[in-house]
Amino acid sequence: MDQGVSLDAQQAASSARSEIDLWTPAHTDAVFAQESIGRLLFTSLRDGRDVALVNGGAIRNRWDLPLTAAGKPFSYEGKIELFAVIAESTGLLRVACAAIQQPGNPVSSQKEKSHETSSAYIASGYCRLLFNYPSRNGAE
Amino acid sequence: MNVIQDQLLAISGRLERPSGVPANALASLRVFLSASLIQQNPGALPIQPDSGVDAVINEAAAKGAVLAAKLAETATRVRVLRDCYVNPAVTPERPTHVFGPFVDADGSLVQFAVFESARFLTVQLTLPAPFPLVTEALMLLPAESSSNDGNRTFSIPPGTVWLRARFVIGNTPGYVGLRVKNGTLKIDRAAQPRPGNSIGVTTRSQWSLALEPEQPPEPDGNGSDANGLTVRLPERFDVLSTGVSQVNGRIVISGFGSDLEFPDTLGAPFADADSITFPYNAGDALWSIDGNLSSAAQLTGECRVISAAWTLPLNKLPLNTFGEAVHGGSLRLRLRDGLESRMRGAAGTFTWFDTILTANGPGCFTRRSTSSVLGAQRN
Repeated sequence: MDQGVSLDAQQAASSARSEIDLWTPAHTDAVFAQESIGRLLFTSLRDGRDVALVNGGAIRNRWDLPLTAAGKPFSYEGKIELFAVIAESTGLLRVACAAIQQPGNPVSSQKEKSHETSSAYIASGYCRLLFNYPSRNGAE
Repeated sequence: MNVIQDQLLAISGRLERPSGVPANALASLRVFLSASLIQQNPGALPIQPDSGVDAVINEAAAKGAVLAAKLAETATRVRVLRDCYVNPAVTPERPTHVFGPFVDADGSLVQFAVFESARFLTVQLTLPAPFPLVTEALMLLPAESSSNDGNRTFSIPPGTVWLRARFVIGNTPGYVGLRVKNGTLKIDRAAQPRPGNSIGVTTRSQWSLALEPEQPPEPDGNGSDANGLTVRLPERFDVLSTGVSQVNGRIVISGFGSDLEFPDTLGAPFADADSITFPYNAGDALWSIDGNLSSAAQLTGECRVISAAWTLPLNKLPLNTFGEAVHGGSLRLRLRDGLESRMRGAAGTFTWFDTILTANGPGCFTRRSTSSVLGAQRN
């Protein structure tokens, strides 16, 4: 990796949103419009990966697990700390997301779920997603 | 359990390999981790296999001991840096290996970069005779640097040069480093040979260092924005023992948006925590882009170039850990407004304000400081 190019903005605005179906029936909305965007970054590495990264936005999960005592899925709404689309030099596309839950909306239980091409973790209000594009239902 | 196996487990025991990562990546990482741990804890040898530990950890510890012994023959120090895969820190040195990505226990995507110290000709600053005590290492030159005139003029072959940063900007800590195509060190009196691969230059000596920075590789058409990029760095960088430095030669970027060329330097260099910046006259330049090669994001728009510069990284780690510099410097532009992007899989756009474009190096992910999980600590 001898050479690369990057664009890095500490101020940004957005009208974007991304709807992600991780696995049936788990659905995630990442919303950047009208949200505080702390940073935008695009990097391309010679013979390496490209990364498009956002620090900011909001995420809402509607997953099948974890369940409340009433047998209903916990809702999860959090602030996105990092949302990145990664294009590997092999052509593989990954999406990675990390979010922290907003106060007053606690998830007390833990969730870890992994497929061959996706994984999701929620613990103590912290949520991380990693999956390959296109996900099961096509996140595009 | 041996401390090496214990720490190997703590650092790498819960790492998972996502799709697309070579099958042997985790095993290879653990060998370097083990060698680095052994260098930090030489009293941990010998390492006996522990039946209570996973066989892969035992195997990595054993191979790490072999690697550590091999590195000891050349006095090579190795350190391993754990970092975020999508947003790793800029490092002044070029890693010898990068492993990952891996998914860590908390679901984060991480990579591990391995850095190995390199051999240099060390130029020491010494007090004048009769007490030629070393005061500091003035610079590190490629080990094959040589003199044909009694140690007054040294010819510098392709490689890495690290120079005390205070000779470029007063009171700047650490060493500024770059890869060079060639260079020359001239001293007004003969340098004294010293033990090891080093020479002594007295504090009263006047010296001049002329360097030709290594240029980035030409575009190769392999399909990514970085592979299609052409960057030209300054042709010459001169530093004098009096603390005067001078940069000559244009800086150029093409192949990513519109072509830009900045022929003239502008004012004195300045330093921040991680780099030294040599300003260029940006004039009234505009930079525009209408699409790019990446499948991660598409960029469009036109921006005013507020500033242009050539930058060199600073290294503040202990000197005995220094390896090869990452490159011959970076071109850095500050852009005002006008840039939009679309991210793969997302509807709508992102609008960029006050954007920094960096070219060359491994791409400027961040400007935060690095911290090593194993190995050297910052001075």
